[in-house]
Amino acid sequence: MEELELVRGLRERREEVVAIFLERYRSLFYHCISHFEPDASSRDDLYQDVILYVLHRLDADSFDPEKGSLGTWLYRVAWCRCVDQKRKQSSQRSPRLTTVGENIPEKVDHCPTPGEQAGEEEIGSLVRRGMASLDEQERALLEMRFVDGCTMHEIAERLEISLEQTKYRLKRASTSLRRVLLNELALEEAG
Amino acid sequence: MKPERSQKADFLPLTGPDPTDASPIMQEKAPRRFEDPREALEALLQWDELEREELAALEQHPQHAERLQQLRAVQGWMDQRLATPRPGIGPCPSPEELYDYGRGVGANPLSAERRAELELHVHRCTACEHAIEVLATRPPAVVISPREASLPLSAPLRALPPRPSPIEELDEGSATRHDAPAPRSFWRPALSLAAGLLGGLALWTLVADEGTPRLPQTPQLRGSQSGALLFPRGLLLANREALGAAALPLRIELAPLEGGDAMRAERWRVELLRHAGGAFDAGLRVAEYQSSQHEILIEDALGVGHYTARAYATIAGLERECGAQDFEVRHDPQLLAELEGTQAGNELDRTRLKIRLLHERGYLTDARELARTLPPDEDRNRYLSSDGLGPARGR
Ligand SMILES: [Zn+2]
Repeated sequence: MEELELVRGLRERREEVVAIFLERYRSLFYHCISHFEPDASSRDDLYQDVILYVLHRLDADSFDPEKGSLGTWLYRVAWCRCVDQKRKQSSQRSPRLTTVGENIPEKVDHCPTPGEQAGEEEIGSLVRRGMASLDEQERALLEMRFVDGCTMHEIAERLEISLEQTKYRLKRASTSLRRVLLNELALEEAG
Repeated sequence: MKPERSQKADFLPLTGPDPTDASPIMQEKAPRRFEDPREALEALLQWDELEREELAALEQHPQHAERLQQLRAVQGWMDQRLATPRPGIGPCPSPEELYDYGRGVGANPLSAERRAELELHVHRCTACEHAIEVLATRPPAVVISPREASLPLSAPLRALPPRPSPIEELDEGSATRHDAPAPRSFWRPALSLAAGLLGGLALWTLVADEGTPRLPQTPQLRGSQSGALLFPRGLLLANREALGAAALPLRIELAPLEGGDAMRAERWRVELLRHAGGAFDAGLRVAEYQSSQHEILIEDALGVGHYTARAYATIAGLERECGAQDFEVRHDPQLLAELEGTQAGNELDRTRLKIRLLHERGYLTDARELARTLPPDEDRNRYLSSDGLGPARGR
């Protein structure tokens, strides 16, 4: 099916066209979605949202075949939607204080309840305790990343290692942390 | 995440499996049940890399379910830390602009000023850094439409088999040549002959005055903009057969990345975008080439027009962008006539004059390709190695 025919069919919400569309472009959407949502069990909501958003944008006539293929357009729209949704999600979980000169973040429609806040604090202290049991290098690395909030680039610069090495070391340190936490949990269960 | 669902499309089925789930091999296997504690531990440690079915098995496991829940909560806490930009780094750019900055497929060009501003932000913002990471990986093939894929440009290509470069033939025993630009070592044999009598420059002039047309000096070509992508660049003749040598191929040349063995590319990928012209024209991706070699030959003729080639290298399993190069394929009947009218005592000298002419007019890629047809000598080797990397450039 030609792209323009596909687009027309999608605008009319013809079921068989939607099915072809989903079949053809599913891998494209998941390429984005699985990056933003690594947890396989949580991908469906984001997928559904992205598809609906894409259809909404198609209805609004924002796809121009003169400018490139449908795939290219879809990829851009899906990626931007994922970024938007992730930002919204994060601002809902922790409305942060703005500093002078910064824009006020998007309207916050959900503030964490005292219960949720307590839960977050508990997990935070669990993570810190876990980090304390790691070896010096791994602890420093995870602190840089999750306490100081450094980017990969900043860590690579500080440690004078490559970006690839930074990613590799972070991954390894995160696995070590998981191991420590699982140990603690097992001890708790036994006690 | 709770998406707002529109009324109109409520029937949308989530047909088919998540394509990131299960390789064909995994699908044949029954999902693990995690009764073996070691297997369970490994799965828990990598839980966010598990396929849906295996994750579901863990979720339902009487012992591991709670552990998984705990690890998920910890990951959620960490993700949240990364998703919240640090105070003082300013607001995040719009996703659209970030996409252009990250050079996603079909990205629009940004002004140098804006790009620099965004770079400053992305460098310090974990959320934006994470978002653009995915853009550096190759999107699935469906991004290119069948219409684009059927353009003659996308015909399959063959990668050049490895061959010793002329420099390596001359520069025997230089064990460090891949690591650091050495002094211009191919001068050594000639220089030793003239030891004590002539400096390098004087010798050069002497050779040049013997009557053989000399090839021109190539400027330093490697810049931060072009990165690892050395050629094609500048202008390219639309009718390359007019160069005299039988159907010269177009050669994509890539420089090894700095950083020695740790930065050795397992695979190169080069995207070709064609521009219609205009400052905001992002270009249409017309072809993609892949190779494990530093050189890729394109045997199809490119149509007249402006292009951008963009290179990506896969290092340790991760793909990263490593440079871009603009070039123009131009129909130039006047130059063709001049090339045709080149006069010299013999065919080799005639070729040398053609190379000079092409070079002077900015057809560096054609000049270079034509130079490859010359028998190896110092002049030719110098010309082909003058890519700003010095003669010790490893291939
Ligand atoms: Zn940001």
